[in-house]
Amino acid sequence: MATAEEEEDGGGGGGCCLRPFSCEQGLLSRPDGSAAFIQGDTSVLAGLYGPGEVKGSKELPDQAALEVLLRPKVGLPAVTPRLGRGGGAQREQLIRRTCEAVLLGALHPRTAVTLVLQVLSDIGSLLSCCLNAACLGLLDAGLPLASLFCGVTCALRPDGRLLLDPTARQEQEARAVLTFAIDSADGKVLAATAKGSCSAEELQQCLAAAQRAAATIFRFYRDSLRRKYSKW
Amino acid sequence: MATAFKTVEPLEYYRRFLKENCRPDGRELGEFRATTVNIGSITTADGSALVKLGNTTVICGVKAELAAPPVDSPNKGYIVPNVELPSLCSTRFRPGPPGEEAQAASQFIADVIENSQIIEKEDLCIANGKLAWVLYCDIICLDYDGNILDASTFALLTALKNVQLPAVTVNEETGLSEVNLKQKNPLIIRKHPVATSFAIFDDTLLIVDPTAEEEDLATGTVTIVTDEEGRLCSVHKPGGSPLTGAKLQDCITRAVTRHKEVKKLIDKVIKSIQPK
Amino acid sequence: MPLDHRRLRGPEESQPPEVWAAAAGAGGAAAAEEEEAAAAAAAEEARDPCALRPLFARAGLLSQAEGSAYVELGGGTKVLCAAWGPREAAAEPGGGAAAGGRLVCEFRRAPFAGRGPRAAAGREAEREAAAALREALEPAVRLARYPRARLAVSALLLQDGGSALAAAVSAAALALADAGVEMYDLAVGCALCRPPGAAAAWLLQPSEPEERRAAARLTVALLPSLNQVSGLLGGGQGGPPDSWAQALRLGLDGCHRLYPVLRQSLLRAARRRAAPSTA
Repeated sequence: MATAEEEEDGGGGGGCCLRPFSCEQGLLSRPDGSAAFIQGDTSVLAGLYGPGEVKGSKELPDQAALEVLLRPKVGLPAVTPRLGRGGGAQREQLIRRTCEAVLLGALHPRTAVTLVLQVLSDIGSLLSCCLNAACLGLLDAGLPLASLFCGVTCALRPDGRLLLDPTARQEQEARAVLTFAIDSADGKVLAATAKGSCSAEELQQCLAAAQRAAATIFRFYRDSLRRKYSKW
Repeated sequence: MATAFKTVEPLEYYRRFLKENCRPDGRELGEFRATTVNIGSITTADGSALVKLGNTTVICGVKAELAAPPVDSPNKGYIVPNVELPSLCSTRFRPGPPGEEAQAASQFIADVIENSQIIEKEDLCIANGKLAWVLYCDIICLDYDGNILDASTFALLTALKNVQLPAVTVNEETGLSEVNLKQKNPLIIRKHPVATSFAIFDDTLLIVDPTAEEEDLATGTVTIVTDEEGRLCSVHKPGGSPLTGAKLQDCITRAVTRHKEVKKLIDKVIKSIQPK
Repeated sequence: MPLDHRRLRGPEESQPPEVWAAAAGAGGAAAAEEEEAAAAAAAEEARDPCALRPLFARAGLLSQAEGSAYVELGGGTKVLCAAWGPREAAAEPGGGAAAGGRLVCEFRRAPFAGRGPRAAAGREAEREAAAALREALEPAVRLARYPRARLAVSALLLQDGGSALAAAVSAAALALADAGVEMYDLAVGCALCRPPGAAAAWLLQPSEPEERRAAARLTVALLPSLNQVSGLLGGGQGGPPDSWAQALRLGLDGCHRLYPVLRQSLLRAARRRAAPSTA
């Protein structure tokens, strides 16, 4: 179990810090890789299977076929539990394509990689927590990756101030909530999605804040991995 | 000869064109396909629009029905968008319930409606806590040649602009609602969200309005939705090649110009069907 | 209705505004309905039962399908059809490998296709129409030429203004021909209906209100150059055999009259396709 204490970000402004986050890798015995990521009170468990046998129709001749399943805490995976919330298939698609962008799938052609994300609790910033769990799951399975990625959620308060890693209540009050997947190579944007409307300048501000936060998360990835392997 | 090369090495074939700043269909990198829109062609719907982006064809039909407003917000109506990608539009889709792409597109459209406040849901309420409009917006792709999100958003917007709702009055004495089918009113459209999609080629090159072929070869896509004030109603980049903030800004700039083009087209079409 | 987790759902229950117009003033609504019926009856008298609605057909308009066709009947029936040539078929569970290819038909109704409540016709009606479509088309296609292969046709009804299945048959046959599938003949569909009343005459190509009020309905599919009937779907109140025989004759005559229009559209599509390559 690795934890990181709440870190004040250089950008100043009361909201520009992340909730305390922690992770645990390899906690499940059946999957080939597993990780739990906890961000404040939001937690997601990732299980990764593969590279393994692929079903006929899904087989890709030149790379591994990645499948992402996002399991909500209760009920069936749905487009939306109610209008305006969630978006199961869209999130699955976003996480899958983000993983595909970093996974060196060409090394394992004609195989299947399945990533199952189980939501344990959702108190805000769920998508970024899913992305982080997914990346640590990929790492734990030892799959070859081109780079790492992390998810950062950023909320714009009605007064125009930025807030990183918002809770569910803060998300509801916010004018806009943006989630980015940032890659570790040079802090580029792998994925982006937004709820609510904002201006282009605000988007760039959020992105800059997310990139700064990403550096903290990557440092945390490194520390937790070091701790994991030092036990051997 | 060229067709054989294209079949064997499709990516290399594209790269040769892109190096010369053009595409196999003769467009420049930042050029949209010819866009046409036909409004009100489905008379059984309360509002409809057929949008063509090159070969991509999307039809949106809106049907209005009445229901009790949601319990948690008694002063609001409903907008229920669904995108369908039937097997008719491309071989990549199988018959049956909507697949991942259709579900994701439906959610994208729902997000655009929610984020842009294209229609204020309060406008759809007739009697607080008792009666409200439900707008079922069914978007069906007829011909899938890429960039389905732009076409769907455009079709939704023009179909909503075409909607004529019958007047509803609540009878004071009986408390019953009366619908006057003869008197029709248009919807109040608050914002005009317009989507602009890009495909990323080889991690660096951005091309606008990709065809299905280009989408398959590309390493990622980005969709930006802006309204008339240049605010972003949606920034949708579902994975794929990483982009810098500056590149993202380029996309936004292009999206703002595209909005002006599309708005002009909408105004022209709306004017043409209202003889005055 | 089963819960569908793959679509966005609205409220549990909703009604089309027409229902409320009727509920508002019971007397007034009934009067309005009577008025409508009277108007329909007047229109019926004015209508020539043998008149065909103008038919517009265009083949080869979709880019992604191998063959496609759009058929529109004057008065608002719009059907779009796509067809795909022979594909490898999954092994049939019952064996029968020696038999020819299989024709797979799909019929979908857009949720906004009908008047009144959205999605009134359920999956069952779609499946029935798909089966009727397959029966009408199978005799026209040289399936023996495509052993162990699958030919696919999917029809989408965009707007239902009556005689939808008949229009779908014509459109599907055009789409198959446009896809370059070997066929004996085009299948042409024609619908008829008989209004209530003992002495009522059959009407060719009924509109949607006529169809709704009809006592009996019939859809005929004909292979005109072979002069063979490939499909027949009838229903409603029975009548003397003579009446049905007369209906069939009327329907076949209608099919023969529609045939040249469809042929023309196919020729135009072929010419359009040939033009750019020769130029």
